[in-house]
Amino acid sequence: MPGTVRVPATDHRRDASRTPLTGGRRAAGDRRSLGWLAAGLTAAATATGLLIAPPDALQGDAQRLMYLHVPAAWTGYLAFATVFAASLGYLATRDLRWDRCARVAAELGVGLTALTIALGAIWGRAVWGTWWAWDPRLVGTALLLIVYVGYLAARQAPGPGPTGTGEPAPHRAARIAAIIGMFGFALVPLVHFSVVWWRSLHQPATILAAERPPIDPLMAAALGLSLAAFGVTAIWIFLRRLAALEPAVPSPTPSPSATATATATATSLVRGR
Amino acid sequence: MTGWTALLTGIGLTAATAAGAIRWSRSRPGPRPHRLTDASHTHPGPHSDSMGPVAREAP
Repeated sequence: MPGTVRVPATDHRRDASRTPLTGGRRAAGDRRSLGWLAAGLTAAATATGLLIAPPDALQGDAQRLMYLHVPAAWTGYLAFATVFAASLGYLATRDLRWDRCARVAAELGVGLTALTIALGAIWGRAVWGTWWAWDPRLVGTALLLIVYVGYLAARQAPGPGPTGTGEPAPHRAARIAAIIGMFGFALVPLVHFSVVWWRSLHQPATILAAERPPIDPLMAAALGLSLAAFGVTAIWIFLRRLAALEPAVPSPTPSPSATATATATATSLVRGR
Repeated sequence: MTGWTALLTGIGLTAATAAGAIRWSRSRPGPRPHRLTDASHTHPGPHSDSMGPVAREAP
């Protein structure tokens, strides 16, 4: 038809606003596969932790909570390390895709650290006889949680910037968040080594101990499987969340009504020339 | 609290957290109404006793 202009389809692979991890044709399928892997690892870890690993000689079955508490804490550390790296990436490039990675990692880290504290409290009640102790490791972990809850709050309310700087609001929020996120990460080694540096009620490292790990092989297997399950599940959720936060892009094939409108507009423009 | 009670509570908490995280991960953030500015949240209160606009003086 003379005067008809074809509307070009959007190519997702070339859209610079999308993170490479979530863009591309195969990303959704890869995420699904990762979800199934996470489910399989979770099932294996549950069976090993509940049925195969023996109960602890002193703590009994309450010790099995360590198959949840320790992986939650370590995956939380990993999430905060991701916040650090992505914040550094944002400050170096001013690319908001790095900022989205940092935000999602911080959300995951906060959830995992809250879970770590709650599971530790339940275990503490059963084994120590108390929900909470003012111990360096416990207080340090609570501080870590507070700092990253503050990080997420600061993202929501960056406040008005100084007039005349010309910095768009998303970049101002991202810059402030990146600085908090990077400084907050300094607490992670402090929390981890608190049991070494100070006198603590919390037990020192078992897996990362300097001497041969003092742990039963079956218990180590349950812990290892649980670590893998937590890690893969966290990566899966990270990618799902990142995909949900991507800016909306037009459908690759325009809808019939949109095509009709574009055709009519183009035709009228050609006729009116 | 016995060992099994603690363990089952911990498993339940972890499962609930994971289910919540999976649900939340697909939710898209959207504009939320602001309490102070959204008209749908306003209603006549004790201070809304105005009888109309203040009459302007003629220039």
